[in-house]
Amino acid sequence: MDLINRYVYDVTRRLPERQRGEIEKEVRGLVADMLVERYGDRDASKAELEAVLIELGSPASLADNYRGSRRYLIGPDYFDRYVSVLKIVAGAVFLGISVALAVSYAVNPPESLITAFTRYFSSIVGALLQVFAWVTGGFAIAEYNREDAGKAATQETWSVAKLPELPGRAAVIKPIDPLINIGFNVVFIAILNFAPELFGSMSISDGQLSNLVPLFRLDILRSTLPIINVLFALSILKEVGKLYIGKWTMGLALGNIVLNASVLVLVALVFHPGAAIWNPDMMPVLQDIIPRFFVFAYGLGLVVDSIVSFFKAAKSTKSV
Amino acid sequence: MSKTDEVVDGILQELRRGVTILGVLSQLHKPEYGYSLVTVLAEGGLSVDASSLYPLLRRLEAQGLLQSEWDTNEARPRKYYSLSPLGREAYARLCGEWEAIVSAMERFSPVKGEHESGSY
Repeated sequence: MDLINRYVYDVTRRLPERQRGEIEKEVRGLVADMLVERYGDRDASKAELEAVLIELGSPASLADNYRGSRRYLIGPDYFDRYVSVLKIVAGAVFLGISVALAVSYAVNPPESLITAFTRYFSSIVGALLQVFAWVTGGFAIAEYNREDAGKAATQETWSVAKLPELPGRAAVIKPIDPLINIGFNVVFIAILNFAPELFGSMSISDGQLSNLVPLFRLDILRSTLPIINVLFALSILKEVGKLYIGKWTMGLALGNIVLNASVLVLVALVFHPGAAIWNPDMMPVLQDIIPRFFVFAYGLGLVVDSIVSFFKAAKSTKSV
Repeated sequence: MSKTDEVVDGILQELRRGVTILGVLSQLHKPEYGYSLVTVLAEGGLSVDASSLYPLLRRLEAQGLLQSEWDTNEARPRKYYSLSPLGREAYARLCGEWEAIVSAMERFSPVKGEHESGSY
């Protein structure tokens, strides 16, 4: 009897909880019926029971049969795209961190080779784990919400008109593009988080280069870092979206515009001229010019990017 | 297992999957419990593993083709399945489709006649 209990437990533990009770009763009934058919009403020996369970097959395969369709965290539909996005994002982050740390080491030489390597490897490992977690999480959500091909087909009839247009050459997003952008974003995130004093202006006094005057007030920068990191995260998210879709579509272009607009708002909030984050110790001339230039350049870049993406998308959807 | 065996086994499995459903539906005009159905089908020449029949019955019930009832009067509680009204209708239509398939295959290859290509 103990053997049956263990068998039933091993089957049901693999199944959704609300089906367990009934399936347990079914499997117990089935084993009992098989025993009666083979050995009549007498109590079966342990070996006989074993033979019956062997015939029924492994608990894993019986549970598989009960489950019917398989459930995936990331199913065959998405898996190849998942792997390629993961590779590219991981590559970009790897490059970005390498560059950022190389820059910071060049400016602030580390105490020893060992500390330099330890910091490098721990940063890389930490960042790659983040990449893995976020990309996997994103695809898992996509898989969870995936339309079942069979179900969708019955709901609306498919027609050839629904075939997507071939993207025009201009609309194709080459993976190198997002890769470089993600790399840059990571370099900036890394420097801002680990060595913000690197952003600064030199001044010349007595014919000698004096110390760097930081652009930012480091205390304010530190307290604003979460917002700034969100900003970078949004940009990286955008690049991942471009990688994932692979061509400019209207939806992607509109999403791009919305993201760019929110980035612009955040930039203006944190970095507008006169904002607390700018270091008042900068030379007076720079104090006015740098913030203006910064916001203007950033804004112009975002606007140009939005317009270009919009036209690329419009071009690719128009050519029917 | 040779390559041919493997391929044939795979195709056979797919073929059986559909035929088993037809076989099950054909026997459920009156209520049967799982294991009795295994026996009935095996006696008729359609052998089905209990480990795939029990889950199949649940799936057909979920699709609305079968209805079930637990009989707790006997020593062991047993779940009896029978065709639902939807199942009856579906079975009648499937029988028509099945006949069409069989007659098509009879035209293509001499199913009942002599095997021209020999047996393997």
